[in-house]
Amino acid sequence: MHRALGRPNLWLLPVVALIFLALFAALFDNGALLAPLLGEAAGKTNYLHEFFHDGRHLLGVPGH
Amino acid sequence: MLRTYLGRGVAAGLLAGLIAGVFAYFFGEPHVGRALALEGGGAFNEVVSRPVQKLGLIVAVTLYGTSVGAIFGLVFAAGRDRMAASDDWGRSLRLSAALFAGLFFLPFLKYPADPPGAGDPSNIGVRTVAYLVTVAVCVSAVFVAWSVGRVLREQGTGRAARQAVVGAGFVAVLAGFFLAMPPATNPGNFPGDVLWDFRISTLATQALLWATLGAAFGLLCERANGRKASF
Ligand SMILES: [Zn+2]
Repeated sequence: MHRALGRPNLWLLPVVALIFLALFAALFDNGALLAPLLGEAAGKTNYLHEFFHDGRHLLGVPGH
Repeated sequence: MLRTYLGRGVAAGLLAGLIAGVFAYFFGEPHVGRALALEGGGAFNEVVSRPVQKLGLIVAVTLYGTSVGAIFGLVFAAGRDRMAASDDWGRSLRLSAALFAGLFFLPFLKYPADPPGAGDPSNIGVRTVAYLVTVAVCVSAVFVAWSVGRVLREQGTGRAARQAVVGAGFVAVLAGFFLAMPPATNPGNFPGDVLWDFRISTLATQALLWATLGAAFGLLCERANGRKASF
């Protein structure tokens, strides 16, 4: 894909990072992403896990 | 072109995620509800209510669809010239079938989705790692098999011999890998009808998502190609 434009596509790095961040938030996060915002409460409340809970089960990701 | 394909992948993935999310809301969510009722209550804790979790289902599948759609667009851009299909419609459908198999269906054969209450919370970390390793190995196996098939084709190996050899090698490697990995959670006394219905709805949600993604991406490419051709 680099050959197509003749120079490295540096803008790809943040795009790929964003893709994996989105997948992590939707499928796997258990408080780590909100910890900077909520501190210790992030793990206990586990908002993203709870909000995406049914989706995680129905997309086939291991769960409780 | 990389940016163009990325944009098409995001658009097709967003559409596919929305459609699969609404499908899961109507045909998968009831089985999640049955499983939760067996557990005798709602979610783990009370921070998110059930109606919000049901909305979260659609958001989760849409976010998943958009993300894998972006990956789809990048992989399509990287591999387009190497694919044997005669048009972008064919290439798009093949790529979506390959990613469906590698990212979901093959891992699902080893570690089928569990409804709430059928999994074992004590080893969730180990199971998550095992699942991710399985996804990585399966998606790699699919693309290695695809590449080996292409090399053999370019060397002039006949189609039947090529597909038989690559197919047999693929099955042997994956069978060995599946045997080496820890077994899936034993659902114990979990009611079989709920488990079956839930797993079928999981399979249907993923199949619908990848079929829609492949078709929408293919249509976007063909529409753009048609426009270019008519100038
Ligand atoms: Zn759960």
